[in-house]
Amino acid sequence: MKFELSDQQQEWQAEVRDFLRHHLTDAVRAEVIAWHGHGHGPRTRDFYKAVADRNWTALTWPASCGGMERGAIDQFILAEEFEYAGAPRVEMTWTSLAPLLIRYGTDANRALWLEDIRSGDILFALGYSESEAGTDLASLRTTARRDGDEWVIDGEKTWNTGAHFATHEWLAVRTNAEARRHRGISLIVVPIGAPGVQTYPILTWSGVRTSRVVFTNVRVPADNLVGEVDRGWAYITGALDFERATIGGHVGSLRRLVDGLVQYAGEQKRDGRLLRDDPAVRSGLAELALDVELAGLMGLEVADAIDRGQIPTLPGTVQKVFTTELRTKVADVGMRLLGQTALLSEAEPDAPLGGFLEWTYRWAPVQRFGGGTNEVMRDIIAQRGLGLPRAARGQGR
Amino acid sequence: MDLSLTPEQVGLSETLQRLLADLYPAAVLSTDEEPRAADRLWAELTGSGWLGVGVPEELGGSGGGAIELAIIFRHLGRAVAPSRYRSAVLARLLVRALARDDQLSEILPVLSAGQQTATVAYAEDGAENDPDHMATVAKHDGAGWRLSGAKALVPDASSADFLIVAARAQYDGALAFFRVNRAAPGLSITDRQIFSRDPYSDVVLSDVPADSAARLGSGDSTATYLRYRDSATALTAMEMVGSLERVHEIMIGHVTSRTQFGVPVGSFQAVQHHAADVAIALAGARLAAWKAVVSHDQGRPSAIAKAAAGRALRNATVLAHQVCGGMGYTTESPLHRYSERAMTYEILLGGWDYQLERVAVSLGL
Ligand SMILES: Cc1cc2nc3c(=O)[nH]c(=O)nc-3n(C[C@H](O)[C@H](O)[C@H](O)COP(=O)(O)OP(=O)(O)OC[C@H]3O[C@@H](n4cnc5c(N)ncnc54)[C@H](O)[C@@H]3O)c2cc1C
Repeated sequence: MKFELSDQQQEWQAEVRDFLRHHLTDAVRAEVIAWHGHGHGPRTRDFYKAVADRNWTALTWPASCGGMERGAIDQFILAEEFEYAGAPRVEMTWTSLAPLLIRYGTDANRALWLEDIRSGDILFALGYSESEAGTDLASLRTTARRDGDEWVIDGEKTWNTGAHFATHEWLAVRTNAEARRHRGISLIVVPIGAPGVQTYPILTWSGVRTSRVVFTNVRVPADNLVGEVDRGWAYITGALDFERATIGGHVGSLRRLVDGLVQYAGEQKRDGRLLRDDPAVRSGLAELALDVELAGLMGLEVADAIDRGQIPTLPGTVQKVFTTELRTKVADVGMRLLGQTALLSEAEPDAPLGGFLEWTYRWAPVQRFGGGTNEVMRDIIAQRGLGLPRAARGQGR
Repeated sequence: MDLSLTPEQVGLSETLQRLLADLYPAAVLSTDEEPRAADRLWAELTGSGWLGVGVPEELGGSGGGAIELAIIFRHLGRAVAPSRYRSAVLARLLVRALARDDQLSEILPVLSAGQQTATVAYAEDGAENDPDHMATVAKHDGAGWRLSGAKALVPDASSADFLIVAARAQYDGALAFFRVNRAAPGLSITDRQIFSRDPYSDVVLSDVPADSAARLGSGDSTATYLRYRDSATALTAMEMVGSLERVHEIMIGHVTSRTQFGVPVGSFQAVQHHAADVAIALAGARLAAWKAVVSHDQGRPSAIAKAAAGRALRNATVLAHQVCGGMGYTTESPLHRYSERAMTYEILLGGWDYQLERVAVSLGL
């Protein structure tokens, strides 16, 4: 693994930065903060259109699917630069669901959706979790029943983020009641406007809205089933390996926080001296910078593994745990170092770091239990990574 | 070590716990009902002598002392009750510590009966903890004082009848405290939205007049203020311990009832270790908070109590979110209110690093 970016990668980074200089106006940034997961405002949509015009929605896809055939490191650079700059996020539909369609989908699946994903016209909401199927995802109960040329869907999903503004549901459903747990699950795509889909808001601490979505006798064409029937579990876990890598991979926002804290410490005084002259502030910030460096290196390692054709289960899992827990630490240490002013809400114009610090404190918990909880991630590291035996107690997994 | 409470103290604790469960139950948190519940609670606390706890009866109070106040703060912490009572009691403690006898007999009965409330306006942007860097000044103009400066994030300033404003007296540089009416000319209050729901305001003073009787006490009040601050810090630690106890209960309750893989998630070792870690931190924080409440030593006990409670509570809320998963993250769950309080109270009255420095000083370093 190389620690320095190649000439080509540096050029790519410069190109992304140049793009952001032109398209990421303060107005777009402000909209990203104001909308926080409540959907995409008009400026964000324009921004995404500019991304799609450059075909960066299909950065790593094969040319045969209209993609740019770039590597995972280039994708990592793109995501990092976007995050560092406070741009609208790089959508998981482009980076983890479309690649899954390309790899496992049917020709009909690809013909139906890929082009519209590339252009930004299709956005999926991830419908895996149910109220009784969180970590134990394989116990999910939403069903799809075949009826002639259609699938009929009934059930209820929860924590279905983006359901109120995405165009389609990317649903995990049970297609085979006889088969054991994992074996009877499929993925199916449902237009959100389809009759029988009802969305109810769930509000969260971060201000991000997510949803409970009820499916009653919802009919979709047979071709909406992704890949082969009853093979969904393999697709889900495959995508989760990559999603985990991207959840962990949000190092750009951590770098932004640390740089913001360093700048603030050079300007703000407390109890008679600049914050940066306080030894506790110095060592606190230095430790955050050190950890963010480690997280960045882990992210690069994961991308490098993908470029070598490996499935990054272990480094991706290591990085997921480390980086998500680091997010809590950066927000916690950062707020404490700033003192009282750190308490100003992001709603206040003079909140330090534009309020991003206090918001990060509220957002950090989700990253630790979402996309596979860190408890389960540690089991995976110990058991699959280190070869330790499973717990003796029957844990059913 | 004897922490056993008298039957009267146990009675006080049970009464307040019932009262909070009735008037300010967890179910109202973050709902439209919350402001009304807060008002009902406040009416009860002011109407039934709760504001007088810790003040002798001859001064218009209801008697009791540090232990009774600690019991109350602990319950307020458990319920994440509004900060109004806390602000009023802390202001009253400061008045009691500073005021001359004639001022005491005038002000304390009014505060104890809840006829008026006060709040302490001390911290400034750039001078949060250390009185040496206070920039608000009090000029003497012959007839009385004029105060100018800016106070940052004063708790409950909008609802208090008067503020206890800390300032440097011109000429001798003494740290002085003034009683300033909320409606005084030259005083402006701007409400700020902060990390927790509690009402905090920035206060700007431009030549605010204060007559000689408005100055609480005389001479340099630094030592008195620091003694008051020890008590305020110990009570805050106790309030955090109350929150910590409740967070631990929420955690245990959830992992006992939530099942995945056909078993309670609390049967997984990783989850059990989180619950045990919180129990361990709670054990230490609770002892340290009680010790600080009953101790007559300055500095060290309250520093240890606040640092331990802050660390334990922040970590507990993070772990509680972790084991409660999605359900603990919605605004319907009370958990986020504890998480907000955890960071807010960590920072107010000095955070971890500040308290460690006080411990270092106690070591002779
Ligand atoms: C804001 C937000 C957005 C979300 N967005 C989406 C989305 O778009 N799509 C989607 O499908 N889901 C989404 N989720 C759901 C998220 O993926 C789940 O919260 C997560 O999978 C955990 O499930 P749970 O909340 O039911 O927790 P549980 O599964 O109930 O876990 C509770 C605790 O038990 C522990 N535990 C459980 N099983 C074990 C075990 N075997 N060994 C050790 N410990 C165990 C867990 O680690 C955790 O600490 C979202 C959640 C939130 C809060």
